[in-house]
Amino acid sequence: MGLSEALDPARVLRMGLLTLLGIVAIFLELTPLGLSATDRPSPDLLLCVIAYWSIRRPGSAPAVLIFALGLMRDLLTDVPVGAGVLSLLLVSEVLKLRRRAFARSGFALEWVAIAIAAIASTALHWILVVLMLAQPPYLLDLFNQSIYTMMAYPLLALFLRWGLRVSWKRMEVA
Amino acid sequence: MARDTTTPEKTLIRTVHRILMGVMIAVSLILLILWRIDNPRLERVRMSLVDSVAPSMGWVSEPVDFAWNVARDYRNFFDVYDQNKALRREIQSLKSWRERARLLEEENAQLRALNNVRIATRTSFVTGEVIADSGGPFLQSALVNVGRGDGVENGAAAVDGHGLVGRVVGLGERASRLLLLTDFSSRVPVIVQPGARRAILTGDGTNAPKLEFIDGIERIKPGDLVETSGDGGVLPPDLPVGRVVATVSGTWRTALLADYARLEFVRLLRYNPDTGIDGPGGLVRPDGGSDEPEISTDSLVEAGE
Repeated sequence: MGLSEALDPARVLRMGLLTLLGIVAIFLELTPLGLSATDRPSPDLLLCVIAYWSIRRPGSAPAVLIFALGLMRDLLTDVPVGAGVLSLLLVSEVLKLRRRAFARSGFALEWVAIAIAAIASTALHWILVVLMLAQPPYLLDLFNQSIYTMMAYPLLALFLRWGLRVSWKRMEVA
Repeated sequence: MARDTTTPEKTLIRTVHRILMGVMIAVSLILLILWRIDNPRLERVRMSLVDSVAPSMGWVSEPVDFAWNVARDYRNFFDVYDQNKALRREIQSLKSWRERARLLEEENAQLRALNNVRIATRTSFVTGEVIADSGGPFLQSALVNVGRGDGVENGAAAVDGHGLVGRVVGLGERASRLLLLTDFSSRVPVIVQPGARRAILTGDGTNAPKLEFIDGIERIKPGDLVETSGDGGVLPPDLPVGRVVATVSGTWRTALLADYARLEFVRLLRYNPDTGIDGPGGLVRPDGGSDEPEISTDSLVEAGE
């Protein structure tokens, strides 16, 4: 990818679409559906969106954009500010490196990878909170949240694949 | 698309990318530390962001809310008959209570008139809609769509129709952030009635916060009423909070009166305690100070004699 490609209008448009999707994901996470402590935690939709996009369109998911979206989410919700950003950045970088494997071997492997990413990212949050000597949340709640994230991913993938037609480029599947 | 073509341009891009990643990771770690020490500047940045996005949050959350309510009403639809019966019974008992309350109110008014009592503080309130929750297990907090511009103050108590919900910890122009009683860092001075036993209500991420440092713990009974004590001057006194429950492990907890599961609107109370004593009283001298001219010393002396 050269610098001339960096400002390709189609790519800028795709980055805009990712930003929009990210903001909608944050707003959905924020929607108040009961405030009891034991209520279902919302799935980490932003992670799902960014993971799907980083795997299929790494060119239009630059780290800076992911940083900005993650920071917005951290400030609006109450994930420890900084921890959410960090885990999103790491997840998207790792997925970008392994994307060829996902392209070749289909959705099942990808789903497993997302499940691991979801658990790893909440584990990272937990570890950072413990290192900061703050009161960590119950592990069971965190685990529940990872499960919901995992469940949300195929639905989101269906929406992006068939609703918005974001899929593999032809040459990568071949 | 081979990976190992190393043109100078590609090496440059890769290096820039690496430096950028390093910077961003460092920034997020710094942010984490700022978050931990409760940096007021971070809270200001957060609330100004909330201020700018709060108006546009509706077009995402309203359809979701609508669908959620439809689903809930659909479930309620099936036990309408039972609910109806229960409500009738409740109305009956409430009617007798209303009569009691009216009598008590009258009596109270009469006694107050006899006594010429000044009611301690006037509390006014602003009502706001809950526009967002934290959505995660890390913190129990919510955003409300009224802020400084509507007269909300930092530390204001938030109540729903039943009891205390939390207090304001972040204040924007048009939105404010509530820390709920269930949050890990929530501490509220309370008294347990009857007997006015002081205690601290400590949130621990469950639906029923713990009661700690209870004064006269042996007299506490399940079902006792927990109210705010007003100690510390942040929250007004006598707001209902919950009922005491005992747990098998021997700790005392509070079943909150506020209905967190259906929290849509909250009242933010404007409370300014005016009964504080800030300093010693001035000296009353027989010749009168120059700043208090019109007190006639004669009458004072006469009154004293």
